[in-house]
Amino acid sequence: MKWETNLLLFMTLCACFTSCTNLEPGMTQAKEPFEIQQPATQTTPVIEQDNNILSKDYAVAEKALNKAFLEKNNNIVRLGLKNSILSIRLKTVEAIREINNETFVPSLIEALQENQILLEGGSEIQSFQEELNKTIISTLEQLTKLKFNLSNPISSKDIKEVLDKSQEWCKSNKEVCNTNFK
Amino acid sequence: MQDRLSNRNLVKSIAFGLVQITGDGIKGAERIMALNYEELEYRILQKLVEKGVNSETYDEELAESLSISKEYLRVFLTDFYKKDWIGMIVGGTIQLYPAGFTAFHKWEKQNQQNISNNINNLTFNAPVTGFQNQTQNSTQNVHQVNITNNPDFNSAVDAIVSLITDPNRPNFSGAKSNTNGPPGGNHPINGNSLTGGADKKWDNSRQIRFKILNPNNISASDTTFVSAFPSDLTNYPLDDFVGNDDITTTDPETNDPYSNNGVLTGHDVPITAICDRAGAVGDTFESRLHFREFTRLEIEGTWHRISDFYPWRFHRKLKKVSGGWWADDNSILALDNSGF
Repeated sequence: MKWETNLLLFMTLCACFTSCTNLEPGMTQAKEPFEIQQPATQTTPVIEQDNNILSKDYAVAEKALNKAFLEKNNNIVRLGLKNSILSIRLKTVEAIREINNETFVPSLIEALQENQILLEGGSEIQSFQEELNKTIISTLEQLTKLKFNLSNPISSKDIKEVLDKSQEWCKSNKEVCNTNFK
Repeated sequence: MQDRLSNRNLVKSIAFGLVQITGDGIKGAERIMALNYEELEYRILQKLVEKGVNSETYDEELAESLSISKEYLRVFLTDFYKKDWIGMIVGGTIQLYPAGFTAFHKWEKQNQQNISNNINNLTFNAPVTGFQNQTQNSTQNVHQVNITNNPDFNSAVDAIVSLITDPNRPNFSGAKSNTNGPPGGNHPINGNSLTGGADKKWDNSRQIRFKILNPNNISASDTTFVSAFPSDLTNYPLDDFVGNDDITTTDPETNDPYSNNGVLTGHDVPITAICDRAGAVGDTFESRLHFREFTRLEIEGTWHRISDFYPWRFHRKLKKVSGGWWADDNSILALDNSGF
């Protein structure tokens, strides 16, 4: 990856990451109704499952994700998008694509935004982030039936377009995006 | 053979030792195992071959000639004979080849000269001559200092790929055979599984150790570490085939030497940066990242380091300046592992 791209990615670090205050011009933070909401009911101990799928231990998180996927526990599956390990997030998106439930759209929008920050690790991490971008976007296309025109590699302009269109889609599908997750 | 011995490091690094020793301990063995020879072990094996000895030969005379204890020799040989070997001898000397196939004997004779002539091509070529720093005067709340001369790492393995055309040569092409490998756990900083670090039998890989110097207690959430600073990792992995800084092959790498003129390639651009809002003017932050590039190869499901380590380091030094951002503070990019 060329340094210009590195720079571009990093310039979005504080714009998109919640710990920083300013936003990149033209890129808006996701607002309600796209925020993740807590599930209304749970049949299994939520805290323990949350901890597992958010674990910084790859094997623990992966096992929790697989379990949630098999049990069709979408509330836990979607928490995988919050894991700090990118490959867990990637596997979560792949699981979401398999589940094929459009109520995941708000979570995917948020995950796409948060994936624009620059992380420690250089080329390897950036290639992971690029792959995650692609997978999230293709999953959004699948769930929303929208079609995005992307350049190669995907630019920050592309990301903004995806976010804008997806958020517009959510406004038009409030019954999907504004509901507690099923 | 003498040339190889004189270049001990190279021999050691590529050492898939197929040793012909006639002895009860290896009789009937059918598989090839890889060895990472230490110099002494190599000399022991050489002596064994020279003397035409068998498993009874861990005697006092041999130990004395090698300036080692008889006990050490016995332990070594006991371990040696426990392994599952294919016995090979050519001209009474030890041969070093990255092979693993039934027709090895024939192949070895035909290609001995090729190997001898070209083995020294197995080397790293890292065109890293330095780097430039750029401070971005941006209206954004971050400033990134960039490496503009990206480190690239090429390992020429043509001696054992392109030059060997015998139809009975070992098949090291294609995808890795064990999808759960390579082993090593997770990346020490970002937590991703190291399993994704290789997708073919050949692999360009990298090890990392690091240290963070944070005298002004900058919060991790204001840095590219994001959630928390990892504990310092002061040693490289004990297993030298583990690439603990290798989580993907898309960064990019070229790991198919058969379609790339016998060359594997790797690439890395380390990044450390801090949000403008963090700290006060004059504050400093440093991450010392040390790396060892190497080439590894999966043989029958087991990974082996087959090249020397190629060290380099990136000491990212940042300092908050009066403009309100974090600027480069004489960072270092060098082809060594000094100053950790």
